[in-house]
Amino acid sequence: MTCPGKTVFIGFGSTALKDDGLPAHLIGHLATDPRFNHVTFLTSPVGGLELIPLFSGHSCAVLLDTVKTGKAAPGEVSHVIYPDFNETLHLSSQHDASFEQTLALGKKLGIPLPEKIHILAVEIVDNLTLGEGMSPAITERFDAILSLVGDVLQAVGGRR
Amino acid sequence: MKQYTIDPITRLEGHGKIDIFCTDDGNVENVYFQVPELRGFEKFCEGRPIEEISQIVTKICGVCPGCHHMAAGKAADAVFGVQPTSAAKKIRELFYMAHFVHSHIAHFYALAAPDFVVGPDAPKAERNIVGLIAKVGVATGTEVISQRRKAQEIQALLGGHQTHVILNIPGGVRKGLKEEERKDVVEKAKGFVEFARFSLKLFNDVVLSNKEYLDLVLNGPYSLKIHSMGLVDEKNHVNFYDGKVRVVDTEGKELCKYSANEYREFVAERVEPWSYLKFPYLKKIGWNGFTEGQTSGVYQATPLSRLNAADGMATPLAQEEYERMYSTLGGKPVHATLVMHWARLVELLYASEHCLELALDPEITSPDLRARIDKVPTEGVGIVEAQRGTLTHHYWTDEKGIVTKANLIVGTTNNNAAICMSLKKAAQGIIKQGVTVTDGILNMVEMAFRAYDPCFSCATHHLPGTMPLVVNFRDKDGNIIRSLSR
Repeated sequence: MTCPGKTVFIGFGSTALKDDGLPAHLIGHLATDPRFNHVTFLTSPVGGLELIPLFSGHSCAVLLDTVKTGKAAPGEVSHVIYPDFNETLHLSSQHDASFEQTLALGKKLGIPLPEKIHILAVEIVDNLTLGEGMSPAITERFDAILSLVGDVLQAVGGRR
Repeated sequence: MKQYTIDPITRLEGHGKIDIFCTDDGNVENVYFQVPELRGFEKFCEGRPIEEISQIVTKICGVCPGCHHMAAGKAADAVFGVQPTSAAKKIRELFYMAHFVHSHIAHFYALAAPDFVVGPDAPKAERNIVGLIAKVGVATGTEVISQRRKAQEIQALLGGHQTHVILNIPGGVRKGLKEEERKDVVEKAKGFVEFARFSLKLFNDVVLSNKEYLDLVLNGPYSLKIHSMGLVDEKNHVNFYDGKVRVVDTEGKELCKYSANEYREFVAERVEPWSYLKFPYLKKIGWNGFTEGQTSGVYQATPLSRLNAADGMATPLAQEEYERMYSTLGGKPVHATLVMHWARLVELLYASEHCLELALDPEITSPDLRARIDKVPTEGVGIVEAQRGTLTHHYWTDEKGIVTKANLIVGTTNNNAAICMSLKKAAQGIIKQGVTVTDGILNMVEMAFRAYDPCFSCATHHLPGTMPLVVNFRDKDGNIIRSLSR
């Protein structure tokens, strides 16, 4: 399961939209964790064509996004490996290309893309209210979410 | 009366809905484009220090953050009554030209070109950037990704992050350009110029040389005769960053020309009960409904309107293309909505050339990056051209510079009425009695507002034919008799 080469970890969302900023807040902690010195951490508000250069040079990608399904407990982390998921909010850019079309384009152009793309989706409560803080439910569970995401990252993107 | 509902048409930066009301015989009677979501960013700005606002507003949207950053930065200058140094202004413009290059490339190749290169009624699985590359070749696709990325790199170099930019401070910029960085930008900008010229040739070869497409562009249900708005410099040339807002009427004559701080004398905003998005109109004419012609108060602020409102382009190659465009189309102004795509490419060439000009300017590496501030903050307006239209930021502060009130007229808001009218004309021209509403038909309706590159939601110009649509066909009693979705 461990990635054979360089790993990029990308967090999606906006820190001005309450829980939408969770990935950026998590990255703030993960990037200083000595276990992940070899991982490239990036933030992006949206994916689409922008993902191609972000992926470039990495054999493994871990993408962290938020979801609001209402069917899971706040803070619950889902882990899927591409292509076992449906279309997403941030991994596509409706100003240019969807996630799948971006990958198809990269392959068509002969651009080396990560062999494995792991997507972590954290169930959140509020991504529509403007505000820099997070909802009480997510704030309360932040440390647990950080621990879960860190464990997954170590498992999939850790050193061989 | 039948009613067709297209909902949602947006998913990311907002939410929209289209209701198409038809007569019993199947013809379109009226169209309502609604934005039923309120985001309230202006309220969010209250209580914040004005010098932070240009950073906060980049989070309004991940698509045109640089535009909000620039408008807010200029407004902050005005709040403090300070002008940025000459070098700082050039740094800002350099960033901004790169922002235009990356955005215009993405729109043309990912959103506009598939309609023409692959075909408006091609299978939706092919009518996208992947299908486009299959037609025009891998080398072109590689260049799209490469040039777009280089433009992003310039933004990240100057702005600290390509999206969440932290370049502007009142009276200047945080970071200058080193000589080695300047040389790199020069090489990148040379590439932009060549790629913009290539893109214009592609448009010429694929669209203008195709009689069917040219007919669709010029004579299809996509024209709208309204007034044109755009920022111009002292020579009335197109300018994205600075100058005065000029409006020309439907015949091309100047209606008004105003500075940023005068905008409220010239533009008013109408509220309709069925939409959270306001409808700006020309105050001196007044609101005369969703009407076309000289007596209409409706205007557009788009790449095409910018060219209509100007007397020319400020760079030589873009000027040549500007002249070629109007010569080909029989003069100014042009009211064919789909010509926005051509105008956008002329703007791409201008942004590329100006990017190169700025990178070659010796002053661009000057360390004189911030003017001294010695005035008590009060109130300020900043106006720039966003890719999607004239963008106005207006802030009021207390004596400590804390924002007490804000007003934003974003690019797409200017075009709200125009988009509604374009949709109605397209729907009336395309959906008629006896016409089977297919995916291709829906795509041709989408083409009417995709041209505006609207930004209340990215999904309104999602990949051609893949925008999430639900169309309900209702009988005269409102009962759904058939549904189409994708």
